[in-house]
Amino acid sequence: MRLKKNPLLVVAGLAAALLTTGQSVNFYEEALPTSMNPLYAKSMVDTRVNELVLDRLYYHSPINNDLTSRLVSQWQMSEGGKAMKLTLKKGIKWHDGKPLTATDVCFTIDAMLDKGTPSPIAVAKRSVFSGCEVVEDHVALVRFTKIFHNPRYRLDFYVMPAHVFEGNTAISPDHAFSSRPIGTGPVKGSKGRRGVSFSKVPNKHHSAKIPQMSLQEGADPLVQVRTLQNNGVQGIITVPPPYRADVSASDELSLKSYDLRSWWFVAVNTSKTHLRDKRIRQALNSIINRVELRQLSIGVGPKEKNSPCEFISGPFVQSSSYYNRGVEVQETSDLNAAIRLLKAAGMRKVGGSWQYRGKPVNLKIGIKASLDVEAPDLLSQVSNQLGAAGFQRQQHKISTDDWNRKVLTGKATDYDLIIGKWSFGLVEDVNPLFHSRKGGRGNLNIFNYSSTKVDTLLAQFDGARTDTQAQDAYHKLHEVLAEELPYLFLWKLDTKSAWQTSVRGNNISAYYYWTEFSSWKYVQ
Amino acid sequence: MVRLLSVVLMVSCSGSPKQESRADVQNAVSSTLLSSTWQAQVAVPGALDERESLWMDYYNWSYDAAIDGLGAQSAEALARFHAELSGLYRQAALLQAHAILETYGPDQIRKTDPDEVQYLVGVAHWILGDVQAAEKHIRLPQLAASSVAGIQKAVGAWSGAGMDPLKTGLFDLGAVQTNGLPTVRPAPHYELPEKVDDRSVGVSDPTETILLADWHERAAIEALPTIRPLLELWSFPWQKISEDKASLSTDGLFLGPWSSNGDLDFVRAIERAKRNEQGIDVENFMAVSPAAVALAPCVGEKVDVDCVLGAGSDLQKQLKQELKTVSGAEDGRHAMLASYAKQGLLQAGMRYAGFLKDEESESRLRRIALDDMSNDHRGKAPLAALAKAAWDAKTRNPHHAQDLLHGQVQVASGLKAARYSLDVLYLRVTRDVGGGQPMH
Repeated sequence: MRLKKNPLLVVAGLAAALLTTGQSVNFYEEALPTSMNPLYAKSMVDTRVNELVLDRLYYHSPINNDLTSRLVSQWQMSEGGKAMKLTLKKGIKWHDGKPLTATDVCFTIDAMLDKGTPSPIAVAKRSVFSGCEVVEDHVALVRFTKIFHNPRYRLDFYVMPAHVFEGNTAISPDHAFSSRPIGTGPVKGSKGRRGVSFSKVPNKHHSAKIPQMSLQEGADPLVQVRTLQNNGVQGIITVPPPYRADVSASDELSLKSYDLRSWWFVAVNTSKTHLRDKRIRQALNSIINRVELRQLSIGVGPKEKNSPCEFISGPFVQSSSYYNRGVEVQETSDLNAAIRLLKAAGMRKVGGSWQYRGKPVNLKIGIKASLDVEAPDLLSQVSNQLGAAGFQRQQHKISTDDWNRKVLTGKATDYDLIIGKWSFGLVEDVNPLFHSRKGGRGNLNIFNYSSTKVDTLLAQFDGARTDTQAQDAYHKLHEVLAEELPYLFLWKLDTKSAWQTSVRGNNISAYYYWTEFSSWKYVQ
Repeated sequence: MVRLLSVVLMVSCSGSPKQESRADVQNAVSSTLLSSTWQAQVAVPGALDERESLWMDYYNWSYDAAIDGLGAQSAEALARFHAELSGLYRQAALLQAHAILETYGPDQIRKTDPDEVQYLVGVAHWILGDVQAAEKHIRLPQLAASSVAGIQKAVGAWSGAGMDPLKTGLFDLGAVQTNGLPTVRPAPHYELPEKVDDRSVGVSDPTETILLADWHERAAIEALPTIRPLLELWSFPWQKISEDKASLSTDGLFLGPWSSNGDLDFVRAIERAKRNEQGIDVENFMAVSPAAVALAPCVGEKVDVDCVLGAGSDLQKQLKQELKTVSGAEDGRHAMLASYAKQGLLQAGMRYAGFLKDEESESRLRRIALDDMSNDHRGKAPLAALAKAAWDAKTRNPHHAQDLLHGQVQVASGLKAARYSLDVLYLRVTRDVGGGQPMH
């Protein structure tokens, strides 16, 4: 892609001048973190910041994928396999100088088990842990709800400081820790209104070579790239595909793969009268021309090889064991099929616009604002396609705050369609997205979609005794969701970061961006 | 010629011009060495002539079309295509072996798993060079008595063949022919009964992948016996690498990471030293291999990754300058052609780190090499991608292995079978990790 002159580039130059300071490494993130408390992480930005500031009890080494720990020196199974005795390394300190002890490990587990901690991440852990006991100053006995295979895999949580919460295990998302956390990670972080600043904290188990870092919220991707080229920042976490050629053409910059399992969607408000009938949702699916959308918003041609963007027909990426390859992707539009479905569902076209029960259908469409940077104009293009097919529309960009406050909590019911993206860690657990909102389940169900058939399949997945049972449940789920369409599934879009080559030793792997931060160095 | 050049030109012209700020080249490679590279040979105006358009199939990783097209005109190109396909299947077999052992090996097998998976474990051991362990598993009495006819037949065939898969007669791939492809049986090959709920798991038999690798190896040798050095480079880790010198022409090297026969011999020597646990003197190759010259300052007790990256950029720049000299003018495609030399150096560094048992540098260079090529319009080279996927399966990282394999299954139809081995590993690993919360 050839980049045109843009007045925003003046801003890029200014940003470069302002941001370059000494040995500080500055980088653009997709957004500011919403919370630096790992129990309330909602976005990939949040999880990445957690990596810098805190330590997981166990994690997979980005080098050889070994399950490893910076905090634990020894472990031993106990109580017939239902408990594990963990001996912590001595000499590790929190950022405020207090020592890390077994009390902190048990405090974190107790906080997750405390029903006064309204964290979905904690809720998921309640089926894993039954308690924790401080045996000695540096020895904790972690109890599980049952015997697990490879139980250390379950110990992937971030350890939090008991003293900061004064032992109160009911942790509120509004606690000051969320913006100024005390961790044991290689840096301490402080969130301001316009960014997050990090400064290194030497510790027994970390020795960061970069003394200062600054996270800025990225806006226009062209400005981001130009600022990077001008050395105003040293890195960009997410570079949209149209700008990658420009980055890779420079000897001073390198593109780094950050292979997450992420997919994009248009959530459909099945509670709206005019969207309740699945034939109407199927019609919308037939109207959407994914090939054109991909070309116009991401810059990928119809026949382009090695596309960073691959269509999907259900809630998994195509490479996943859970993806049902028997369910075909709808790549281009089929307007005749759409018209048939709309008419069969009782819609009528009057004066070029669709009406339902005598009223014009006006679709309120939203997109999470930060995604508009990654896939520019996707909102407009989706809206245009629906408009060309005869729907009136309104377009809205949804701020991160509104996304967290309204969309994720199922309160954005005034919207008809919402464009978003989900990213997954090691586990592609889609239960929070599609289960009915009840009993702590379905906590990310955007439009409160509810289907007995879907709930049954999700329960089958949760209760599966064997791997094949779990796989079969999700294959069937894929098939049902592709028919019911609470989401119009779009694509998997790969993620690439760009860094100045002067930033070295940056081992980035799929789920561990900053985990090896101590090996990063900045050679000016 | 026009088509390939135009693609190359398009790729090299996308984005801004290269910002070349490194004024000094640290590891100077002589002009004599640079002129021995395939890049220098194709940079001579008219060097590829009308055959350049035929290379488009290979450029697009369409091996079947390349065998039909360019393969019909050049025995060396034909042999090379088969050699690379053979290597692909060997990497796929390694991937399957690691995935099977990480799923059904002694620490990972579950009570509900079918007894018949022991057959797969046996084949996996054979792929990794442990024939005794293979025999121990394949000869388990419960396998001979299996209710799955396919397993009974396979176990009988392996036993009857003295644990030599090439003599089992399993999977009729058709007669070896240099101008064609083998017949591949759709996977899953067997449905194995689990010990719970009357369920079964579909699996693929890596024996087919071993046989596919052998089929292409024989086709390659039939087309051109001197292709063996390329075959050796992607053989199973326990197989021997000869000391024969490579003697390939441009058709054997064009658009590949080894810029010259000297580079190919250097990388084979690294691999030979690793397999034989013997030493290697890089200096011995500095008269014939640009990669050896560039890599030499970066290796000691470990491989200095940053040094290799710098040396790669330097080598690319020097070669680009040489291409300008050879062709008599600056040309938009030179940077792209020279980038193959950088890729070769990264891969040589990665293999050298493997020889030194420097796991961290090997892992980093493996990732960097893949990143480097994935930013190119041509995408990841299938062989490098499959080799990384096999490494990921070995390190119990099925996510990345699945992504890599998924990107390559269209390259050769027999690769789809490997999906089944990875699928079961993925399910096992992720279910061990437990629930997760999606993030926006």
